[in-house]
Amino acid sequence: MQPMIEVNNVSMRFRMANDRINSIKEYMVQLLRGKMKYKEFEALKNVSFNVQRGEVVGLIGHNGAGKSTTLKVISGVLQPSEGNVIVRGNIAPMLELGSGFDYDMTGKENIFLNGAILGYSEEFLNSKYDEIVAFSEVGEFINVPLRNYSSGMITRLAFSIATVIEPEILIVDEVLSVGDATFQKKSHARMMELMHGGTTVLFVSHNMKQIRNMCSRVVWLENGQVQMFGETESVCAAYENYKR
Amino acid sequence: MDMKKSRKLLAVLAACYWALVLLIYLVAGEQFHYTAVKSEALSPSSVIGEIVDGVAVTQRLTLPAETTQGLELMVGTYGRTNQGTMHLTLADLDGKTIAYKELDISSFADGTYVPVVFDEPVQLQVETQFLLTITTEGCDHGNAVTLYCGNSVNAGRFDIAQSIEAEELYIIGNQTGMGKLCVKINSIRTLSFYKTYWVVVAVLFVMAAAICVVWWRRALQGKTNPLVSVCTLYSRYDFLLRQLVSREFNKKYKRSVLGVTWSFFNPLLTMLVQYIVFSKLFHSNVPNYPVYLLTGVVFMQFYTTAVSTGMNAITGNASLIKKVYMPKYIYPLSRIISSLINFLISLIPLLLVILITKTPIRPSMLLLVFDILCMLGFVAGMVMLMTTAMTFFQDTQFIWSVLSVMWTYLTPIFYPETIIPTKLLPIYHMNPMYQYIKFARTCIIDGISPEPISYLWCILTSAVVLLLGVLVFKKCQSKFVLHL
Repeated sequence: MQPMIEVNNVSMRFRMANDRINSIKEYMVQLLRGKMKYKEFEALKNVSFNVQRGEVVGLIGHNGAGKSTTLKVISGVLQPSEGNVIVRGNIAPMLELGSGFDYDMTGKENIFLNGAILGYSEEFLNSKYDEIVAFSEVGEFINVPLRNYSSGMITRLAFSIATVIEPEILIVDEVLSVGDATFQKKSHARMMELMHGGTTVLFVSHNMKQIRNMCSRVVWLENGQVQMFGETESVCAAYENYKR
Repeated sequence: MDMKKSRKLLAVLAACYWALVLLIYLVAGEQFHYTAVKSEALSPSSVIGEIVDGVAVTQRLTLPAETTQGLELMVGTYGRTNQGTMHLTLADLDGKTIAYKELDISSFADGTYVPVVFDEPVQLQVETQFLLTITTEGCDHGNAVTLYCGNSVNAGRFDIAQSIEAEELYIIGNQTGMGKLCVKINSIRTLSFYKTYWVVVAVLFVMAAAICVVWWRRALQGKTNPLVSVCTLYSRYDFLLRQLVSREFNKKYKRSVLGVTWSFFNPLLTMLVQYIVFSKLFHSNVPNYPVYLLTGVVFMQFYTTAVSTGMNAITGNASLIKKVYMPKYIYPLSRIISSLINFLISLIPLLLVILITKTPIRPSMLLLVFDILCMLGFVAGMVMLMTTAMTFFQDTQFIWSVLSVMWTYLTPIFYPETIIPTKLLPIYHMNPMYQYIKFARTCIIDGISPEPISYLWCILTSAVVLLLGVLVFKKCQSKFVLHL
């Protein structure tokens, strides 16, 4: 069986100009002075791994190791400088909850807008609308513009929209628990339900307990390179040793 | 790929194409077969003296087009009523008579052009020279008319002297005059375009259909091609597109009391202000000035607002682009569509003004569909170009704010086209917005279809700019996220 996600020798380089040039005048000045020097920054170096169907794979590593960049390359937001990524299935990108929210629009309008951004169809959203509202517990606030919501309500609504579907591939960047203690429990339960429901999951976490509980395999990134890729226990142990 | 949805999309596109083709053919009709060519006369400066019996006036003229229906002569009556008959003879340079006409002198009014319509149109090759001979019968001194002559052309407020070759000067009796008679020649040019219209249209359709069939078969084999990607994108993202458009549209008027009605009032009020200011200046020169003005205002406003909102499509959605993958073209496209809806709403006040000014509603107004489609292509191309430029250089928004004002003033919106210096006309013609606005005005005010060349210009400018915009956007889109 072919893997759901294949990451083949992916390198990601960013150009870091002395100062980011974003005006024509600056561009011309820099060009004339011959100072168009770019410092290259390699966020990912030759990263390869794959995720099988129905598998839960964790991404661990220190801050700046390239975890978020990897997720962005897989979800298509960034084009890799070298190498390629093959994804077989629909991705529900949950890189940041509620990134498509518009604060001038009501909760109801935002459910449809955000749902559309996540790639849901109209019929699906209509049928799941009540479920989303109920799960988010925003109640009568659903017809109020988002700017009047509390921050907890916004994250709850975002979580409810993002997890109402059972996607083929779920990409999660540390969004496992949001809201207050009761909602955290609920959201955690929902995540577990998704992960055990046959969905392929790729997720980033710093919580080693969570990783050990959920993942079948783990990718350990260090300075943009794959330090280790394998069974959860061995990678986690090595990572914890390295940290010390 | 969603086969059913794509088939529907293709069928709708084909139907639209043929509907438009048929519409243009039915409405354009005569304008596709003929175009009127009128040679302009010199500006009258003096009279040539009384034309009495026995005196012949001759003038050599050149035909502007192959079919000539008649002439117009500027006559003078010395402020009195004269009796008699005027004989006009058209002869070729060998002396063979081509056309002949008699005019009743008593009906002449001083200083006006007298129309002379031949019994049968004269068919001659273009640029043929011929002699116009004028004699009178029953006229003597004190009871005779005269003709005006001139040696300069009118150019706005000034007259520019023309050098006239010796054989082109008029001759009265046996004296050679100092200028040329003021004569206008009314001709029509037969256009061969209508013969090829159906051929061109059919060939284009067959070509498009053939490409689609080839792509379709390849799609069935599972290979990717532009048709597949367009159809997949359409079937997958049409809901998202609708959501984004409605957001764009609702947000614009979200906190205003009058809401969408502003789309309606805005052009109307702009027109009213400009009407009050400029009607004194240009009113007499332009027939149906309110409609002339509002057409320009509505079209130009669509263009400037669509580009200024559309160019922020990428930078304004930075938070989304950095987080979620979707085709980037969706962002500018949603803004273009919401601007288009606004534009369509602002056509309602235009219709109101058309009704109020009692401009006759004619089928030619249906040709606006073609015009608007072409303008839409141009606007979409410009939005793509500007939003790409804007992502890399934030200066673009400031450049555009100056450029849009310049563009508005350089397009004849509130001033008549006649005040444009003749020398600069070719440059004006290169302005696509001028083409679209002129097209619309011809359809609405004159009630006829523009000439085929206008159609060509509209399609060409629109296609070139759209293609350029799409290509540039496509080439740069993967780099957008690095510059946000």
